[in-house]
Amino acid sequence: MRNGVITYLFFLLVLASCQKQPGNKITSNEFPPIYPDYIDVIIPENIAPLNFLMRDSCKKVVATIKGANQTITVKGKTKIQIPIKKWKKLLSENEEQNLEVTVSALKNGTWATYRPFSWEVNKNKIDPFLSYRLIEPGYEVWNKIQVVERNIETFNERVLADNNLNEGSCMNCHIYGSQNANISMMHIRGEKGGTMLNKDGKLRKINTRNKDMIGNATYGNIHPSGRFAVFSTNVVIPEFHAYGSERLEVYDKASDLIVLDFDNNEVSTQPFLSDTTTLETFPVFSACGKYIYYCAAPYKPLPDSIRSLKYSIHRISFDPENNTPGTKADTIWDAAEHNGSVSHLKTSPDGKYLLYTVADYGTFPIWHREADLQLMNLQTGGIDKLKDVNAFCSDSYHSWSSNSNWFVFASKRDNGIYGKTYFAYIDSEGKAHKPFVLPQRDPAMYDYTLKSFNIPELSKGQTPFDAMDIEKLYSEMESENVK
Amino acid sequence: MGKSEKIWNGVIAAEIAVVSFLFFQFFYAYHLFFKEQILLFIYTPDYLLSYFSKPGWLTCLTGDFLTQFFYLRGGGPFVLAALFSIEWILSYLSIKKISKSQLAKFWAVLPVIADFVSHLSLAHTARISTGLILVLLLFLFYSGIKNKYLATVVAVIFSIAGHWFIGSAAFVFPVLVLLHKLNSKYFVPNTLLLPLVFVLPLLIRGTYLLPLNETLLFPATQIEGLLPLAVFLFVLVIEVILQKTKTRPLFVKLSIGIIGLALAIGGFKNNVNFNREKIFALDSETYFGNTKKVIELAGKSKFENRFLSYYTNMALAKTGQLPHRLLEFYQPAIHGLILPVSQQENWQTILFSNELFYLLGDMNLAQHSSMLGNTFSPYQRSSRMMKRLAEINMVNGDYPGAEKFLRILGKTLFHKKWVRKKSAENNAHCNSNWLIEKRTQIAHSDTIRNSFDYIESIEFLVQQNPHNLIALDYLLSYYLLNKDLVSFKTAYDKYVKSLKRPVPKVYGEALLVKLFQDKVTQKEVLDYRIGTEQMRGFADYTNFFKETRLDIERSQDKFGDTYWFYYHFATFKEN
Repeated sequence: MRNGVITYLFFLLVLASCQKQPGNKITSNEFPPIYPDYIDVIIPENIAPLNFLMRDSCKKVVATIKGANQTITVKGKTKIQIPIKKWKKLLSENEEQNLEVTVSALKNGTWATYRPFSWEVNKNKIDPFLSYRLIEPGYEVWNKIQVVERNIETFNERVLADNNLNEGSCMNCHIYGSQNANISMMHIRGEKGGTMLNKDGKLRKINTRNKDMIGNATYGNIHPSGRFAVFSTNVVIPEFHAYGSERLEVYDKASDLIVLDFDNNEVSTQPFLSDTTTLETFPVFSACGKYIYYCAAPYKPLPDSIRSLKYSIHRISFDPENNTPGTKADTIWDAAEHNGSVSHLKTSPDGKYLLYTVADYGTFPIWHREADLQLMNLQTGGIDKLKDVNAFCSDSYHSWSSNSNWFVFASKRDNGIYGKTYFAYIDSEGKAHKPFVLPQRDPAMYDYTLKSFNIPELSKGQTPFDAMDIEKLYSEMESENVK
Repeated sequence: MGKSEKIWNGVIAAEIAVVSFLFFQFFYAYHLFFKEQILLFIYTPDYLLSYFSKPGWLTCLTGDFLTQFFYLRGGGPFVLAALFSIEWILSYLSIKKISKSQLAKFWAVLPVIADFVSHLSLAHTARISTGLILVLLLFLFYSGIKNKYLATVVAVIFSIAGHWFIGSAAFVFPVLVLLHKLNSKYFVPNTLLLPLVFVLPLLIRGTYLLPLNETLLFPATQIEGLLPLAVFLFVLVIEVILQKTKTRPLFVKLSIGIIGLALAIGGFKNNVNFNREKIFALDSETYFGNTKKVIELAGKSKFENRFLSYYTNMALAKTGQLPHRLLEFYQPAIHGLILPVSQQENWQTILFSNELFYLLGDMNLAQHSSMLGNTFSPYQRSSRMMKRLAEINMVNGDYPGAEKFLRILGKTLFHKKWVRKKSAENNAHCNSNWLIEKRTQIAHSDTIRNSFDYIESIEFLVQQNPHNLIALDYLLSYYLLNKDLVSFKTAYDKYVKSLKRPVPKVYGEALLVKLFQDKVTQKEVLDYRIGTEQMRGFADYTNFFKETRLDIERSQDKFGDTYWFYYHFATFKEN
């Protein structure tokens, strides 16, 4: 009897172990159903491991990442989480080469090996730090907001500002001057708010509105010298669409353009930049600092004429010696000619390109599904519609890496609601390649987060302040007024 | 422990469990349902790890884990009954350990009463109960260590780490240790635990990104949340003093009785809100889809409140009864029709407000309101709002958007079944009956409106689809309750006349007033096909009004549920 039981158990064990072997194998011509979509992408040498998961209900998954001299095999139940040390070594040894990734998955007792895909390791590194705002996509009001800095070479994250420490006040984008973490700024609204300026870790709080302005500074950009910032001041109106997924429409009832001298706290503008006939917004300096690009549209009665509100790209000169914007604007992208509306201008640090978002109309593309990025070559005037970069949902809020080889942008392409940050490579010919999403330690993180990644900005170093410094600045320091 | 004491203890623990279960099951069940709806406990590594980002991770984790069972009928009362019984047992053992008092079992009832009455408040959560339980467990573990040096080391470790895994309840620990060591030579060295336990959290506040006040309270959100802990400490200190002064047991028993009674009555009076329970009853039954029960509960309630009107009106509209029975129920003008999503409203109102927009078919405002409901709920994660957002996206045909929320809910313990059904529909992009029905309501063209232009939004829905009777009835009811008969008649002529719908009671009454005011011809009156009974009623009312003039009471008895009475006597006041 006892022997019989042992024999029976032995057979059971043999049977069970047989099932574990990849006995039934098939090879698929399809790419594996992985999330995020990391199929055939170009990645910088210093990026964190591209962890991913299988979307279909497999029992086990194995990924083999094959380089020139080394292969990593990673196993998981449904997720592939690559050990960071091995990953770093693999990338450094395979600079300018392709890694071949083969994924096999056990499903319904059968191992399927999918069509291999590649990760091309690019020697041009991306700036290692990325700041972004984490916010619920409530699209009109907020509750809990954090501005976070992520080291994209690892998975480490640090909170730069948390509105729970600032009486729940709204916090806008955190932007760097020339991707330099020692020069950055961020608007914090609320009673004790102001524009927080970081210069080499020394924090200042500036009330950016003088008596002649229609509002506080809104969208802005720091001059390459770090001394000036150009801002639009906007009277912002949020309204709602009635149809399907169009959701929110944000437009400006009025908007002007100013330049602020941080050394003297002085505001300068030109009459044509602050009158009521034209709406100006999203200004940026050129890489050389001698020009200002901005979006402009003739004023229209809103919201009735919202669909005909189309912004062009204008350029004026800027004299840093005298803090004086030029008196004549050139149109370098005509909304009427292109039948679109531009927003979010960003010049590349090498001065070659201007990256911007084009929507059908209006000035707030993040809920415009048709909003796509476009790249203008400032030397030739040629426009690239970035077919490989854009997706069906809003692509906007972009920022450059300091070497101009990479840019980061926010896209709602996954579900139309929650924004995530994507990186895209631009080669020496100026061609932009398929983007990939910011990797996470747990690749399922994006599925379960209720926060949108908003306004991503790259920087070369770590920002020299944290949330407690901002709390102190907010609650204890008086604002400096501008003239 | 003698046999009789064991029986006593068993009786007290059982009594606590039975009383609390019965109360929460039969008098306060909807509060507990609501507490589950404003939480979203999901089984994912990132979510579980997120508990470490704030102090008291173990307290919060166990508290939230238990709160998910509030979803089940009887689940909430059962969990609370168990928590209270455990609290009593541990309080009893701790008090006994410190004071050796024979009356410990009675003293131990007081913190339980404090926690019980605190749970009547919406802000109080199971996290507070689990915090108390955990700190008592720590103390009992510590006090059971025989080796004095080891005990000291454990006390220091618990004092340092307590805030990390228990939160504010950890502040009780060194006090318990001190009282335990009151007559020992270790008392003085142990006093050092006090500054340690209070100063350390302040020093590491930056790690948790908490403002000063929240650092000391967390996971409680307001000072009242610390009542059970405060009562427990108070009880201990009093007991030790009474022991020292050798107070007679009868006096002590009397004191316990008086304090307990005062705590129970004061706490109950302060926290219980049966009117809110009625609101939550209608709200939850709306959520559960029990429309008939909503009307039934509203009919029984004597409580007059805009939220009750809000849910009642929705139930009436859903069953096509709104234009017939609108005035059978309390109507605070238009405030019972639409709940505004504004800064002046609290988070519960914002959370409730999506129901109407969803019912009307205004998916964009429903989505806005649900997003904000979720954002402003206490933990910014509401299972109920996730469900609504999934439904809205399905109706809009935004399948990837719906999938986002379905995937999240799929990681819960109790919403999986709902998710399986909806996911099957979503993945197949199929047209279930409810989707077909909802999609007939939604707009097929666009307009831009301010989020507060509710009436403009409703009228747009009606323009898009005059057969959207729910939106139409809301539009007309809005005008009627606003006594705007001009707009009512314009909208009626524009949208209702062509529908060949029998004239509902309230509309007929309003039309008669307007037609009478306009002095129209008999032929024009007949054009509206108002029933003869209503015509007769209007004549009766006119005669009655002429006879009695402004005798509200007599008019109300006879015509209280008519629009004529509302039109003449209802007065508007600020809500």
